Order: sequence, then C-alpha cells, then structure tokens
Amino acid sequence: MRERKDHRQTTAIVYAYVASCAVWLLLGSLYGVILAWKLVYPDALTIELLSYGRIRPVHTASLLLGFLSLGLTGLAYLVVNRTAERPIWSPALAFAGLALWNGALIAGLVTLSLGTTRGPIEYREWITPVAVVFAVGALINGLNILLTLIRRPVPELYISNWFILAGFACLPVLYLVAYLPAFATGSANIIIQGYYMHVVLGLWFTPLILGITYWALPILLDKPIYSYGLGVLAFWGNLVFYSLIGAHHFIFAPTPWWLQSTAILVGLGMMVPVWASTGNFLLTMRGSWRYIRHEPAGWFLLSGALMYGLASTQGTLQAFRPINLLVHFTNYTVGHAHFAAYGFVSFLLFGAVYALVPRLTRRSCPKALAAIHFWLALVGLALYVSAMTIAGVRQGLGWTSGAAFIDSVTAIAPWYLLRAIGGSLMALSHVVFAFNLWCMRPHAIRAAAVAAQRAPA
Amino acid sequence: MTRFAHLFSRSALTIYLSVAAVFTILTLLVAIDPAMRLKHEDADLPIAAVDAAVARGRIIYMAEGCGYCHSQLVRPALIDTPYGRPSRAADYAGATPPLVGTQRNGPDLSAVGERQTSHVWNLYHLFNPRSMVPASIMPAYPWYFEIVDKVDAPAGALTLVLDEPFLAEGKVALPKPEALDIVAYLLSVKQQ
Ligand code: HEM
Ligand code: HEM
Repeated sequence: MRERKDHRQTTAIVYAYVASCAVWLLLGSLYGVILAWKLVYPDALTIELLSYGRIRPVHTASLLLGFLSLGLTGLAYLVVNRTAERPIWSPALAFAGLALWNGALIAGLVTLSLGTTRGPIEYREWITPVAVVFAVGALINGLNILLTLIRRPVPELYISNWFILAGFACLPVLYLVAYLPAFATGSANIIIQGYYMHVVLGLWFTPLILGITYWALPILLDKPIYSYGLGVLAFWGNLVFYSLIGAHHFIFAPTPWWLQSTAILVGLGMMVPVWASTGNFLLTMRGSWRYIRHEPAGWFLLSGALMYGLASTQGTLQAFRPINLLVHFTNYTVGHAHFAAYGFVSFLLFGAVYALVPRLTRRSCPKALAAIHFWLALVGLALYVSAMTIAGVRQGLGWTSGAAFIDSVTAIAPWYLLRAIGGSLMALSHVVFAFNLWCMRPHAIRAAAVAAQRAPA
Repeated sequence: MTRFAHLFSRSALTIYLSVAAVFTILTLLVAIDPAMRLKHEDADLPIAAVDAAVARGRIIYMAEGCGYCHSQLVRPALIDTPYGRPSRAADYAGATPPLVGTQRNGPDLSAVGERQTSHVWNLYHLFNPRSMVPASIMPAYPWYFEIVDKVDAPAGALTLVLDEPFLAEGKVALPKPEALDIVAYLLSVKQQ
C-alpha cells in the first residue's frame, strides 16, 4: 500500500516537472521562431512586447532556465529515487521547488518583456528578486535530493548521483557570484559574466544531463554502463576543467591575459572528460545497435552523445585566439550554442524522457510520432547549425577584408532564411514532443479526466 | 555496482560537500580574485559625469536589448579597426553593467558617438532603420514616436517626414522624450 503511494508520488513529481518543461519548451521555441524570422523580415510584428531585443532574453531564459532546468530536475528526481531505492525525501518540497521555478520564470518573462532587466548580461538578465526566487527553488531541490540520497538503504552511490549532486552543489555558488553587487560595475563584471555564462552550461546543465544519461542508457539497453571508472574520470575532469574556462567568452577584452590563456588551454583538457563520457556511452551502445535501430529513444541518445563530443570539440577550437578573432561576435557562436545546448543537452533529455517516462507511467506514445519528433528536430538542427556556421565564417571573412559592415549583413541574408526554416522545424518537432508526452501521461491524470467527464455538469 | 565503486565515496554528503569546496576554491581563483583585482585597479579611474538624459537613454538601451546585437568592445586587432581604438578597462569604469556584448548582428558601438554625429540621422534611424540604411535588419522603434497628421504637428518642433511605407500619406512622426534620451546616449558613446 505504502509502496504504491510512493510510486504514485514519484510519478506525479516527475511528470509534473516534465510537463512544465514541455510548456517552457513550446513557449521558448515560439519566441525563438519569432526572433529568427525577424532577422529575415525585420518589419514583421513591430510590437513593443515582441521587439527583438526584449524577447531574446525571454527565449534563452525560457529554454535554458525553464525547459532544461525543469526537465533535467524532473528526471533527476526519478534517477535518485530509483538508484537510492527509496521515496523522495519530501514530495512537498519537490512541488514547492517546481512552483518557485515556474513563478520565477513567469515573473522573468513579464519583467523582461516590459524591459525591466539588469542589462544584456546573458542568462542573468532577471532582476534580483526574480533570481532569488529561482535560487531558493534550486536550493530546495538540491536539499531534497541530497537528503533522499543520504538516507538510502543501498550501500552504493551510483555515478549518476554524483553528477546530479554536483549540479545542485554548484548552482547556488554560481548564482550567488553572478548576482554579487560587488562586481556589478566596471571591467570586473566582464570576468564574472564569462565565468557565469560558461559555468551555468558546464556545471549545471552538463552534469545533470550526464548523470541522467548514465542511468537512462543502461535502463534502455538493459545492461550496465561500459565503464564506471571512465564515468568517475569524466566527473572530476568536468568539475575541475569546466570551472576554469569561462574567460574564453571574452578573448581580447581588457581582462587579464593569463586568465584568457588559461581558459583557452584548459579547454584542451576538457577533451578528456568530454570524450570519456561520449566514448563511455558509445561503448555501452556497442552490441545493441540492432535494438537501437528500432527505438527512437536510442536515436536521441546516440545523436546526443555524439553531438556532446563534437560540439565540445568545436568549443575548444573556437577559443584559440586566431579562430576566435575570426568567429567571435558572428553567428558561428549562435550555431555552437544550439549545437551544444540543443544537439547535446536537449537531445539527451528527449532520449531520456522517451526511455524513462513510459517505464514510469506504463504508457507510451506511438513510435511513429517519436520518430517524427526525432527527424524534424535533427533536420531542423542540421539546417540551423550549418546555416549559422557558414554565415559566421562569411561574416568573419567579410569584416577582415575591410568591407562595409552592411555588406556582410546582405551577404548572410540567405543563411538567416535557412536558419529560420530549420528553427521552425525544430519548433514543430516540439509540438509533436508535447503531444507524445500527453500520450505518456500517468493513469492518475487519465482517471481524473474521466471522472471529471462523468461528473454531472 | 562494480569493484570500482569501492575506490570512491559512497557518501552523498561527502560528494556534495567536496564538489562545493572544489568549485568554490576554483571560483575564488578564476572569478572572485581576478575580479577583485580589476575592481581595485579600476578604483582610481575617473568616472565621467553623466548627463541625466544620457543616463535615461542608457537604461532604455538596456531595456530594448540593443546590446544583444551591438557589442561595445573593440579588440586589439585589424578586424576591429573600423570601430575605434582597442577598448580599455577605463572605458567601462562606472558602467553597471559594462555593455560589452557577445554578438554583432549590427556593428560595434564603442565609438558610435564619433561616427554618427547627427542627432537627426539617429532619430530617423531609430524610427525605422530602413529609412536610412535600406538593407538594415535592425528593428524599428515606432513606440518612441508619436504619429500625427502633418497639419497637427506643432510649429518649430522636430518632426520626421517620411514617405510610404514608413509613414502613411500626410502623417509625420514626433519623437517622444525617450527617443531623445536614446539619441543623447548614443551621441555620448565615445572613446576618450
Ligand atoms: C569543452 C566544452 C566547450 C568549450 C571549450 C566551449 C567553448 C566555447 C567558447 C570559446 C565560446 C565563446 C565563443 C565566442 O563568443 O567567441 C562558447 C560559447 C557558447 N557555448 Fe560553448 N563550449 C563548450 C561546450 C559547451 C556546452 C556543453 C554547451 C551547452 C550546454 C555550450 C554552450 C555555449 C553557448 C550557449 C555559448 C554562447 C554564449 C554566448 O555568447 O551567449 N558550450 N563556447
Ligand atoms: C525552437 C527553435 C529555436 C529557434 C528558431 C531559435 C532561434 C534563436 C535565435 C534567432 C537566437 C538569437 C541569435 C542572435 O542573437 O543572433 C537564439 C539564441 C539562443 N538560443 Fe535559440 N532557438 C531555438 C531553440 C533553442 C533551444 C531549444 C535552446 C536551448 C536549449 C536555445 C538556446 C539559445 C541560446 C543559449 C541562445 C544565445 C546564443 C548566443 O548567445 O550565442 N535555442 N536562438
């Protein structure tokens, strides 16, 4: 009886987070599509609340802080619950965390749309009160997960939990530093911006999605991860190297040269943990290709693992001064941002949802629809990233040649169009994803819906 | 799990605390300490007195997210010579936050006040960039203007006169105070 109640609660927590994540995905994608088409038709939708500069931070906050944080945390609760073999320490706190995050995201959307911002400092534009609500949500969820893991009956602490704990240990420190008033002014802020922008990606989203994948992949394939040792190597490598490379976002800025050089060189070190995890995932898949071939969850996990290695390698290379000089400030970076945040983190997240949620709710979605989601997303992303990469190189070469700025704008117009098309396909794939998630809803929701229908009006 | 697991911690608290400790130490090394030093060095820099209109204009520049498409950071390299001399820490003294940016969908603006010195050009460009630069992809900001019938425009006021498609037949645009503030800010962005 008790066990059934625990199972129902875990299911409710996980599904509530994942459903919220889908809402922010749809919203953030809509904003992304508007942004992309505005760069093709700049006079379209000339409305204050939808002006390009107002909604760009709404796009990034909805997708990074909303979609990714919520989806990753929802699945993290599931992984923790299953590997610790005990119920979540406090379901109430999990729901409180969800409410705080959704509240912060809504407040952030409203304030940014109205132009209330701390300035174009990416992913920390929210004014302090909004950020505090988000931070409290993060602390609560971290504490809840930590306490669940501390009081577990099983002796092992599976590697996934290391990664998840690490994400929740880093986020509060990171967030605090990002909002410290002491560094809000002057060139010191450039150092903090680079540090924050990188670490939020590398030590919040990355460890969570890695932790989830280290669990989802063995579950999907019904076999252990290839190497536990490689996982531990990736864990410490990730923590140490990722912390040090933020300064590569502002190469040639008036910040210390040694700091920039360290960041560039340590980026090379990142290749170790990155390829350790990518390799570990691929070697786990070895021998299961026949199964993966028929399983969209496997397609997402396979492509996500590959794009993790590729996007990170791209990142390492673009930090080097001669390359950075050419492609920094161009759309090349936008290509990299989506290659990594979408191709790596989001693809693995989609894969993990398709692998884990049906096992939780015992309801799946039609395989054909999951396949449509995959192909739309992959083709869309391929168009997006190749268009932006070509556009970026074209911009860099144009600027180097000394041609007038506007010439590079005209020259890349076709690539902006291609990106808008690719981005629209990605957004369309998210509608399919949302529908698929609805198909996977827990019985409790269905029962409630049926009851509501039966109830006399 | 495997024999490897015995080599490492099984305590969730140990992992959580050691990650927090390692990360905090590295944060001190590559973020807090260098930022403190820069802050210290910058403490002696002169902070130019800022005109009230310029300060208001800067806030609107931030609110409209201009900084997502326009950097204010000139690198010490040939590729950046059109935008001015290389940026120095002094250029950002007193700036909360410094508007360095990471994208150039539009050109760098570190010295725009020296490049586009015309108040009127800037107003037309703000109202609709394509009225000045036909191939521009910058958004238009009509909400900082009042569109009135030509006959109703107060005599002597600064009015924007444009043909279709920018303004309907017989209409003119009057800049609101915010438009004047943004332009005041842009004209003030110079490299001493
Ligand atoms: C070894 C791993 C990585 C390295 C060395 C790396 C390197 C870089 C560098 C040098 C830039 C700045 C480019 C420029 O502005 O010129 C950058 C930007 C970016 N990277 Fe990565 N990257 C890595 C992995 C990732 C991952 C895993 C993600 C996503 C989860 C990611 C997301 C981004 C984003 C969003 C930006 C754009 C930031 C902005 O300007 O707003 N990167 N990366
Ligand atoms: C659904 C389709 C999407 C479209 C059409 C789209 C479009 C865009 C556009 C037009 C920009 C502004 C680029 C610029 O400043 O020039 C942007 C920025 C960004 N988007 Fe998306 N996006 C989409 C999905 C996503 C997803 C799913 C994520 C994250 C999971 C994401 C993360 C980002 C980030 C981090 C940036 C800032 C990049 C940078 O600073 O370099 N986007 N996106």
